[in-house]
Amino acid sequence: MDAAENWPVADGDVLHFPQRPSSIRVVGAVAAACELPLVPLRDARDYLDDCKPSGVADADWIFVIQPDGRIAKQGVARWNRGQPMPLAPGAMIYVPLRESGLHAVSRDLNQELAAYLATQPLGETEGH
Amino acid sequence: MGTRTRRPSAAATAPRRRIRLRCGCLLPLVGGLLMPVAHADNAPSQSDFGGAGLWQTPSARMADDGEAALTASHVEPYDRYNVSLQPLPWLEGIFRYTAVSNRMYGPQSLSGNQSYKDKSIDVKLRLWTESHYLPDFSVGARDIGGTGLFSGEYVVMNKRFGAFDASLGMGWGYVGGRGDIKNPLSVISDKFDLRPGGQSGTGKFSSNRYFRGPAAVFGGVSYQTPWHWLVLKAEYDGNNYRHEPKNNNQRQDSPFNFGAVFRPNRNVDLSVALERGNTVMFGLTLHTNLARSAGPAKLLDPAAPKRNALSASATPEQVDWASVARTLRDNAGIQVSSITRRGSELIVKGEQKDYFYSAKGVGRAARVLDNALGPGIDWFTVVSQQQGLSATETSINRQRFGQLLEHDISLRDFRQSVEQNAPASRREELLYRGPLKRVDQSFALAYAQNLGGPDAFLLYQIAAVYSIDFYFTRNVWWSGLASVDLFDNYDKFKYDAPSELPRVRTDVRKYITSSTVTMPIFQLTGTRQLGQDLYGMAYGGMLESMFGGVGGEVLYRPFGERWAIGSNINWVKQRGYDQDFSFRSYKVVTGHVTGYFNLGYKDVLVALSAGRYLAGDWGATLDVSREFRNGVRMGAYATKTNVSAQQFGEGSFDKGIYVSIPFDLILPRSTRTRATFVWDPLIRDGGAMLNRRYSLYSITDDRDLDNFNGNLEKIVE
Repeated sequence: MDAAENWPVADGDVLHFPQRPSSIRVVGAVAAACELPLVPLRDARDYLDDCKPSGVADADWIFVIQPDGRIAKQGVARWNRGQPMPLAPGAMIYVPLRESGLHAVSRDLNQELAAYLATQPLGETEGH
Repeated sequence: MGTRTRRPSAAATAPRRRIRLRCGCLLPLVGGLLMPVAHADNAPSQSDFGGAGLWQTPSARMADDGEAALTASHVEPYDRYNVSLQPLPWLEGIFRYTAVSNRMYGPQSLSGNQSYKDKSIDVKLRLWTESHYLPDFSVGARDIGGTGLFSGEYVVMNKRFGAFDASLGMGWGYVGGRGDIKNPLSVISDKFDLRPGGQSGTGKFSSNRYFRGPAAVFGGVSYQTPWHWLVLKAEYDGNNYRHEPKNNNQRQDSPFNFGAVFRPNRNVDLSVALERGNTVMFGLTLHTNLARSAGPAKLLDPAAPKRNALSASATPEQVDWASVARTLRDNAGIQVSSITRRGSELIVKGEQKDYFYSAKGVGRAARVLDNALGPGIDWFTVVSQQQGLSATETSINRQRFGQLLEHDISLRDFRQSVEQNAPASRREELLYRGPLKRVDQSFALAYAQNLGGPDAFLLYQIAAVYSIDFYFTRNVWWSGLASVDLFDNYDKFKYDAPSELPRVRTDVRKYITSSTVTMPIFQLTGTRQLGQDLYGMAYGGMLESMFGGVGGEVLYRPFGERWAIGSNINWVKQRGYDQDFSFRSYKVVTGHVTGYFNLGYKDVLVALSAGRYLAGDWGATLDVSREFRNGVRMGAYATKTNVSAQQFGEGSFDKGIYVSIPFDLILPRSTRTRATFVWDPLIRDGGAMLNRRYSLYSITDDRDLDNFNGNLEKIVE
């Protein structure tokens, strides 16, 4: 454990020990949010085959939110396809809204939503 | 030779002691290039001409910013050695030596059997970034205003389709040498029909040729195979080799060039291709991303002081300050000039001698003071000084710093307990005054070289250099530099460039070959803080290897602002070739007004100087550079004066590119020294600046708060 990451506990803190999930979730601009079984080493964008993006989804990018809170943007179109990104148990894929439609409203909406999702404790929505 | 060119900006003029190598120092850079980088980052393979591209043709692609590459390629009859730099995500710069192996450089008596050499600088700009439907779109020029042998311009776009990256472009000049289509720009004006000057090979007529003359289409595809170490590339060449310079046309059996790039690791690419349908090309590229280098672990630094388990109880009056000052020098790198107290704040003033990252020095100073002092002191302040001038004071809260070291608070929380201010004189209680260190001397071996001249491809010199600064006060000192030539091959150095101007720089050969023992510097310098934000400096003596005289500089650099303005004026006389105390008859008043603007965009610094140059010519120098967070700086400069391109001679105007690398990124010990590599094609008399030993902008470098704030995490190291 890195000492710098080892914070002292303060009054009112709650320790949350999630069960190790065996699934990943796809949320955002999808027909319906999905919870899919984790397939080790499966590339993040391949999960979209099992959870179809909706008509307002961005065609180029997805956000990959790993359970430790790290966020990565992955190219999913032919012009920007990057290295494969395997997921960890409990990871989340946020399918962003189409950027072009957002410019007038809130430029950074997708970025901010992904950042918000990354702050959510693991297993929260599954109930415990 | 190291002292001959000096950039006007803070960039290359160098704070601190600095090793400067001139002209295509290919080998030393390799050391920096082999630093390990563990990133799956974007570094497209290079063309034969350096820079992202296919074989003969460029692509619209850019590497990640910070990328630096050395590419050597051989395709009969050309050998090309390219240095490519990517200072910004949308800007690529290349310096190139081309050797034409079947043409002689000059008469046998001068050049022996040396093949013809050509030097050039390229620029490529990305105007549009690829998106779902639109391609990357870039515009570029090869050999901007150089000798013009291979000069050409192009526009090119790239679109990726999965593993395939397709490019399509149009070239003018050498890039579009086939010239089989009428210049589409002729719609605008008839003058685009003809490319003037042709291949005169002298650069005298190379202005206003951009995008003129007939054009040709080029393009191709790069395929990333499933094996990451193998890339296949094929292209349709824009050149038919029927208008090669130096009457050197080549047979072309096919306009299609194709081959493979092998990428065994992040730093090495090997290429082999078949070009012109009949000639094999071999290429080698060494590359790395300098901006991402963090440098090796600092194993040779003293360990940071352990925090005392029992807190000390000494009051500031009881502390043995002489001993603390010694520890501050040894462990925090600070040569202390004074230690004072203001209420509950303890202030250390001095010069940082060791740590490139000022946060590291401040953190260590705080640890030393924390161990020495009892309660009652809540803030530690370090005032950074150089050459008797104070730039910035940095204060940190003692209690919060302790919490940071114990990992009780995050760096982000700690940041709120750090203050930076302009040093101001206030009532302070003096606790300790450090003795003046009168003599600062060093001895070094210096290597200087000149690549690509007509005498020999490599002219080199190894000299022993002794440097001494004697301080009369903290603000007044004398500097001396003596150099003894140990080895060189200057017996081959016979060529003096022609000049239509006073020979202020082109006599370089005489300066470096006339005497074995030289005295490049013998000068007295004084500095003065004229106001909180106003600095002054005056100097006199032998100011550089070719000029001596008197001069002065003032700089207004408001604290917390991203701009500064300064001015210098000098009355100088040309020195004797032996670099002793003698003078020649030429004298001139030279000086510049310089504005420095840190754009706040990716730490880009623009320095614009206007004034009178050594040959008496009037003009301006623009120097644009970017400093990455780790201190690596990449930049370019150009000077244009009221000398016509014809009078200026080969090259049309003075220009160059440079990269400056902190040795801290290479050595296992902290150091403030830098290696600066400058690639400027030619030494000419027009647009030559006096090479001043000190510049106020560099001395007050700590006014740039980005180094501290961008590397605040080093405060705990």
